Amino acid sequence: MSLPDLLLSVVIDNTPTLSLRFLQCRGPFAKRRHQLVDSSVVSEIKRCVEDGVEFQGDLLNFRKDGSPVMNRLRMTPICGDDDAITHFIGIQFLTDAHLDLGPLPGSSTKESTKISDRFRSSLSSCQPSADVNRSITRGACGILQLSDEVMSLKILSRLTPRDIASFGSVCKRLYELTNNEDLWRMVCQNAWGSETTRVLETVPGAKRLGWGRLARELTTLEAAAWRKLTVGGAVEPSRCNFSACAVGNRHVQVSSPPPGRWGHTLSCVNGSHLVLFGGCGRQGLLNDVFVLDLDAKQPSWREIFSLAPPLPRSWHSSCTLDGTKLIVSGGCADSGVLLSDTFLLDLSMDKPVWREIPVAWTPPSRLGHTLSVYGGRKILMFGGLAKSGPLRFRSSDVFTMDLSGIAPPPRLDHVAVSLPGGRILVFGGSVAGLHSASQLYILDPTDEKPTWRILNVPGRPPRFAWGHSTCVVGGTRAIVLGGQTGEEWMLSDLHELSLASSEI
Amino acid sequence: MASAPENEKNASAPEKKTLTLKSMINNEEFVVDEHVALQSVTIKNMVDSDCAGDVIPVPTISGEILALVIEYCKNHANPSASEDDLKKADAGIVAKDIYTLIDLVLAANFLDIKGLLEVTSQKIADSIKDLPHQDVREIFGVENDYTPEEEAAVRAEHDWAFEGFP
Repeated sequence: MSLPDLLLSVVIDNTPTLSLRFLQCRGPFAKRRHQLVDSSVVSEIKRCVEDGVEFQGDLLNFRKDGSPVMNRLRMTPICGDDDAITHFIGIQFLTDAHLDLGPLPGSSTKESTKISDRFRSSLSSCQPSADVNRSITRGACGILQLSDEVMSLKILSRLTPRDIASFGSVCKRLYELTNNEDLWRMVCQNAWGSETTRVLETVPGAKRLGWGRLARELTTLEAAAWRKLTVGGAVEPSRCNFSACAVGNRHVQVSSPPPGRWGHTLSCVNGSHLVLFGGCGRQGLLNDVFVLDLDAKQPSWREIFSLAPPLPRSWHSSCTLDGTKLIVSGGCADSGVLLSDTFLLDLSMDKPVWREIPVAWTPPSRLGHTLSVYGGRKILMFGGLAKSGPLRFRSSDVFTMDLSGIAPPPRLDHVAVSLPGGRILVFGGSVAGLHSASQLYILDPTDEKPTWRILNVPGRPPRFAWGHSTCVVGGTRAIVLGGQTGEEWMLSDLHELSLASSEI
Repeated sequence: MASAPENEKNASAPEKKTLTLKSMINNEEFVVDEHVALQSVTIKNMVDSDCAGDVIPVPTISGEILALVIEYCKNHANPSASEDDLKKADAGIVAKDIYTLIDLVLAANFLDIKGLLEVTSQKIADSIKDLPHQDVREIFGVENDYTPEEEAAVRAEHDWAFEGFP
C-alpha cells in the first residue's frame, strides 16, 4: 500500500543543508541518522543538488513511531530567469519498509498505541513544505504544523504533568507525542526542579515506573500507603526511633552502631546517607553526629567530628538542605530547658563546622516539632510542644524560615567595610545571644535584589569585636585593635582581615 | 534618541553591508543590515558559504511574519539595548494571535534564531497551559481524529488529569 504525497521541498540557492531535512533518525529524540540509512544515497542527493541535476532514488526514513518507511524520492531543479537554479521540486512516494528494528529505544509506547499517520510524517519530514500548504489553507491544522521536535522540545516540555496527560486526548498525534519518556522527564523536571528529579532517578524502582506514572502517583498520591515492617535483631537500650526520613525501602545490616539513645533525629543526606544527631543516651544528653552510608557494601556508622556543636539536646527536630546540610532546631537541653535556636552543619566540608543560623525573630522554644524543606531553601516548622502559646502541650503553630538570604543578627557598634566594586562587609559589634560576632556577612547593594551572604574565611578571627577600633588599610585589609571583652580592656591584641592574598 | 543608523531608505554609508530578504510567499522585500540578518544561523551559513546572492529568497515565510522576525533581530542586534528593553520588546512581538505565533515559531525554527524560537514557544506554551483538551482543539483548530471509543480509552488512561486532586 502506498499513497503518493506531493511535497514541495524548496532549496534556496543551491544550499542543500537548508531544507533537505529528511528525518533519517529513528524516534523523535534520536540525534543521529539511523545506521541502516544508506549514506551513499544521502551523499548522492547532496551531489545532485550541488551539481543542479535531477535526483531519483530510495531513501530509508522513519515515522514518528519509529517504524521504517521507504521514501522514493525524485528531485528536479527549477531555474529562474537567468537560468540559475532557484528551487528544487521534490516528489516522494512512501512505502512501508519491512525491517525488524526492535522496539524504539527510550520509548514506553506499547505496540497497540502506535498511531502513525503517513501524511503527517511526510509533512514534518520535510518541514518547510508544510508551511507552503498552510499559508493557503490558513487555520486548517494550526499547531499541528509544527514539527515533532519543536512541539516536544520547545512547547510541550514547558507544560505541567497534568497538561501532558490531558493533551493526549486532543488528537492522535498529540497522544503519540505525549507518550514519550524523555518528554515526561523534562516536564517532571520543570515541575519539580532538577534536584528532585535527580534524586528520584536514584530511587530503586522509579525507573521501572516511568516518569509518566511517577508524575501521576506523586500528583494524585493514589499509591501512598503505610507499610508495616518487622525487623529482626535486638536494639539496646530501648531505642525509640522518633524520626523518619525517606530513602526507599530496604533492610540494611549495619556495624559499629553509635551509643544507644532516644529523642535523636535521623536525616537523609547525599541521597543515601543517614545522619544521626543528638538525643538522650545513657550518660545524658548528646550532641554527636554519626553518618551511615546505606549504599556501602558493609554499611557502618562513622562518627563525624564537628567543630562548635550546638548544646547537647534531645527531642529536637532536623531536616536537610541542598542534600548536604543538616539543620537542627530546638529540642530539650539539660534540666528540661526548651531551646529555640537553629544550627546548620555542612557535611560536604572536610572539617564540618556548626553554624548558628542568625534570625531576626525566633518562634517560641519547642520540642517534638517537625521541619520540612520546601521551595528549595525555605523551611516550614510545625507543631511540637511549645513553651508559650495558647495550648502548652500540642502546638499547631506553623512558622517558616527563608534561608535563601541570611541576614546578620541585630547588632550595634560593629564594623562595616566597603569593598572595591561596592560590596559591603559587616562583622563584629554587640550581638545578642549566642551568635558569633566574628562571622562575616557580605551584601552587594548594587544587586537587583540585594541578599546577605555568609562569608567563611580561614584563620583566627578576634573573639570579641566590639567597642574596639577598626581601620581599613590599603583597601584590602581591615585591622581590629583592642576592644572590650566584657571583663577586661585589651589593647595588645591586633587582628587583621585581609581580603587579598598577602604579598610574597 | 539612539544613534543606531537606520538603513531602510538607502545604504548611503558604503561600509555598511546590507542584505535583501525576499518572502517567497508574497514577494515582499526587506533590506536589512547584515549584522541584523546574521542572527539567523540559516542566513549566516548561507553568507559564510557564499551562497547568498543579492537577494536572499526566504521560502515559506510571509512578509508579515518576516517583518516581525526582522524586528526581533534588530532589537537584539542593538548593543545599547538593556535586558529590560529586550524583554519588553520581545513581549510586544509575541503579543499576537495564535496563528501568527505558530508562523513565528516555524519561521524562527527555519531561520534558526534560537532566542526567537524560545520566546515564541514559551508564549504558545503559556497560552495552552491548564486548558481542557477541548479548548486546545478549538484554539488550534485541531480536528478530533478519535472515534468516541478511542477517545474514551485515551481519557481513561490519564483519568487523573481530568479530576480534582486531593
